[in-house]
Amino acid sequence: MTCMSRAETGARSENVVVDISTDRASAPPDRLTGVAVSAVANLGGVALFLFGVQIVTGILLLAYYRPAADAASASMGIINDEVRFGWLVRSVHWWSSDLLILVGLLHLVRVYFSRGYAAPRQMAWVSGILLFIVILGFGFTGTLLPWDQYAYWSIDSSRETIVTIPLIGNILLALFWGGWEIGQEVLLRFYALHISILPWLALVCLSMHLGLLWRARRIESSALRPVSSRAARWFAAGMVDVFIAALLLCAGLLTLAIVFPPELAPPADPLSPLAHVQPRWYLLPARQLLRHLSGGVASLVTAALLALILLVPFIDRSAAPSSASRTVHWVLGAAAVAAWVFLALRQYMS
Amino acid sequence: MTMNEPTPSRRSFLTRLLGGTVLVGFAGVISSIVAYLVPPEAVQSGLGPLRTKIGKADDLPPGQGKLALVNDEPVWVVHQSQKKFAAFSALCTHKGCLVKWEEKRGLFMCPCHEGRFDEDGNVVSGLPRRPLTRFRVGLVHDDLYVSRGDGRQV
Repeated sequence: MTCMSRAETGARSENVVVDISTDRASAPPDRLTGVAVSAVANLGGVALFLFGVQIVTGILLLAYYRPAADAASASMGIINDEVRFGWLVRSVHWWSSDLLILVGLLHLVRVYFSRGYAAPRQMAWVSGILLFIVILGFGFTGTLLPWDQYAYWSIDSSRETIVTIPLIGNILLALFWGGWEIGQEVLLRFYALHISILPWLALVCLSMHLGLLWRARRIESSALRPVSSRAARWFAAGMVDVFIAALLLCAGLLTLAIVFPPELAPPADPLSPLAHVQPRWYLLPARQLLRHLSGGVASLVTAALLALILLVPFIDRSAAPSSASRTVHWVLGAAAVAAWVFLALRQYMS
Repeated sequence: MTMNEPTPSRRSFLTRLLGGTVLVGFAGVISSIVAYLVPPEAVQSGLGPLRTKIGKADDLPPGQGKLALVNDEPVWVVHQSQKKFAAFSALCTHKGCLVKWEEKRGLFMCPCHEGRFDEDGNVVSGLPRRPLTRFRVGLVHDDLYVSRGDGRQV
């Protein structure tokens, strides 16, 4: 009798997958759907991989980059044109940063729709949102570092945006900008944020995020996998999948980086503005919002939205939601995604 | 007679194949990173050295001069007296001809238009109006080094 039940739990545990509709371990679907499902379910893992790539290529770029207004652009030129594989390292850093933000966004949307934030994962959701904000900070500060025309004028247009934030706008500029103009101080402070302050914040958020998820998974699967050797086997099988996925991701990332390397515009010239400069794609909706709302209202809307997103797991608490609340949940999510895409497209077309 | 496992067995062959592939992949990544970290010929790109070694100080007796290349620029290093060294660009400030250190007279002579400079690079006679461009000289462990005066990279 005991023997049978052990075999049963063992058989179940070997085939465990994470069901994306509930984020709980469940029986596997057929093979092809299984691959697609696991790709969507593991967007967080993809993001983690891209973050690792960011760390490695970022450290490599430090070997030649110089954060000075009169040297930054030239040092980027050296990396791009003279250092062996320099263009590739820069291209991979550029691509993996954009993909990290994209995958992070998709991961967030997926977890929302599958209610992956439900207990005991509320704080995992919160730490994930904070981590995403830190990653946006990496993207924003990193945009300026090449110190070419695009970098200069796109950050300059953001400066005009930050000034309009009531009460704290000027304080933010003084703290993070080191002044009201874009000059040597901004470059140095963005550099400091990018390579020493944000990495520590990211590390804290990331370890919280992973630690909380690990604990939640252990709580849920403790009943499912009592036999440690079985668990070890399952883990080993999982590692092979992770290995294959990492290889595929490397191949995809390298292909993108080699075929579409980022441009390096002429060195920043504070006296010749670029006409009609767009921010990076992930800031397009915010820019569009600012066109229609004054700085004060836009700041309030942004703060309210952020608070709402952070509080999602505490607003939607019921373990078995009614069909009406499921509909509300779905409609709100779909509306948010649609609004984001709409604002981004509108700004892009303008 | 017993049935032997084919050697190597399929499992161990595949394991080795996989391990070898991983190893080759890692070697590729690591060697690319090493190639990236070795600085390129970057003298003209602003990553050049901060100083250029001229040679042993003892090999340059008082009164003698030595012509050396400092980042593609010809530079005279002159032993003025008793371990007092000076370095000047060898390009005449008149038309850019190569000046020559005349040991006996203690003068830099320009062959093109008879320009003359003293051992401190100042104009003595001739068409040049500005003194020779001075470089910094340093004695580091008995070796002579030359560097740009303003601390810029040579």
